Amino acid sequence: MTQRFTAHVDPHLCVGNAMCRAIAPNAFVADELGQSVATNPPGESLETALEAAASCPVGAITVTDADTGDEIDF
Amino acid sequence: MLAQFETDDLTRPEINADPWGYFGWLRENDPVHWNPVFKTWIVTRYADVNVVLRNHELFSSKIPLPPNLADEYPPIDEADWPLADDLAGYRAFIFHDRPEHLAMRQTIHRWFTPRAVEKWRTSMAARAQELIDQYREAGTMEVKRDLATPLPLLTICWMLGVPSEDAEHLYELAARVYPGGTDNHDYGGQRLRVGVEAIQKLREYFTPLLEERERDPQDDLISMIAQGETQGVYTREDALASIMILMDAGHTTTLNLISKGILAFVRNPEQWDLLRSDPDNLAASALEEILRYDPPLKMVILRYTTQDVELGGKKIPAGDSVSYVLASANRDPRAFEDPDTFDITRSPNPHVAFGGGIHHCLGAALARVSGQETFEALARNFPRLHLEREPEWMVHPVHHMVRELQIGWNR
Repeated sequence: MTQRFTAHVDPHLCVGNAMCRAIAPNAFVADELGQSVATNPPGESLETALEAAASCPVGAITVTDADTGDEIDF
Repeated sequence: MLAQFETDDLTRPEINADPWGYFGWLRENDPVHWNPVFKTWIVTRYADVNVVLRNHELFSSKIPLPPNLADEYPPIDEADWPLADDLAGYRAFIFHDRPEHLAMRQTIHRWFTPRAVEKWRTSMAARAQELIDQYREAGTMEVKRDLATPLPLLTICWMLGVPSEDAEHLYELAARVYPGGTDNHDYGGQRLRVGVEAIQKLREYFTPLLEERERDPQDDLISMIAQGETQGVYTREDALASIMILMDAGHTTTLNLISKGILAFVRNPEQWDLLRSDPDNLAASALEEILRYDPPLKMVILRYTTQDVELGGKKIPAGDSVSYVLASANRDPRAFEDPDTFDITRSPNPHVAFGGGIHHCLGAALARVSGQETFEALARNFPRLHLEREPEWMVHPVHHMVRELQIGWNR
């Protein structure tokens, strides 16, 4: 069974670098200010979400276990 | 329009000494302003600067190469114009658009994430303390030469994978490259010649190194870029230009950050006392405030509209140059309360010192680590710092940079 997870972008930290949108275009989209927002679509791979989090230049992305609420380290 | 300033000449000493006077006036009176001297639109409000930063499809980073020298100000000696042909393919990753820019940046960005740069923190702190100890007895130091130049240089060399004994020589060359070298305006009309000569010397140095790393990759940035070249992501000239940008940008910006941060604290001694009361916890927010209050780059002249764009009520035609002023956006009262007050506890502090969007400063996290460790070390060592003399400001349309900063303390 795959792990259920939730990705989150901190709007106070996001600078719109869009690396996450390049790595996981289904899981992250731009809002009207050019910042990224996590969409958490069904079926998104945890590996890709963690790669997006690891690639964020300002550490704005966190990924948490949907069942326990614990942060999943990238 | 410019009654108070009479000129758009960005090389005037008063504009170099006080960018907030001229650019602040523009921000309030003509926030998207056509500068006929530099032939560029100057964007000064926080919200508009973010529009430019975050809409890379509308605002291209692909500067014309070879550069259009007829538009240069101050003028470049006409006899030197043919030298610009040498720059035709010389395009660092920051002067590319997507999709090329994404592939180029992905080749190296893993080295610059917040987590990746943490490994440098201890050595940065130790280096800062070592430099402070060297000068403690003297009671004085010239910040740029004695602290801010040697501090990041070794890190850059380790990261790139060049011997540290070559560091100073390479940096001197990198500071002269054309365009954008921090020293190049010292050479006036000769700056293209001086810049192209420096680029040629850097090419001679880095070309064999790239070839060596292609054959025998190491754990360093030049190897990553060499690999990018093998994969067709970088041309040879892209690779060389990118290495030179990493050399200069990583260095000069840190130099400005440290020297102008010290200046801000000398002029706001109560903020120094506050930092000293709890350096461990306040260094991070203090650094963000230094970045906001007096950012290393005051302005960026580096975007071209890809179509007609309306911004701040002005119609900017396709193909025009657009510049954005980080220093004025960071003091925009629409975005920051008491913007001219230096407050190291400011929160939130969404400054644009590192730009934003897809070109957000690659080295931002590294600059944060080195800056935090430097100011923490200074605060732990010196109850009070003073200026030995008022600093002179260098002439540069992009950098707001002291020529030197002689500080002192009681032994």
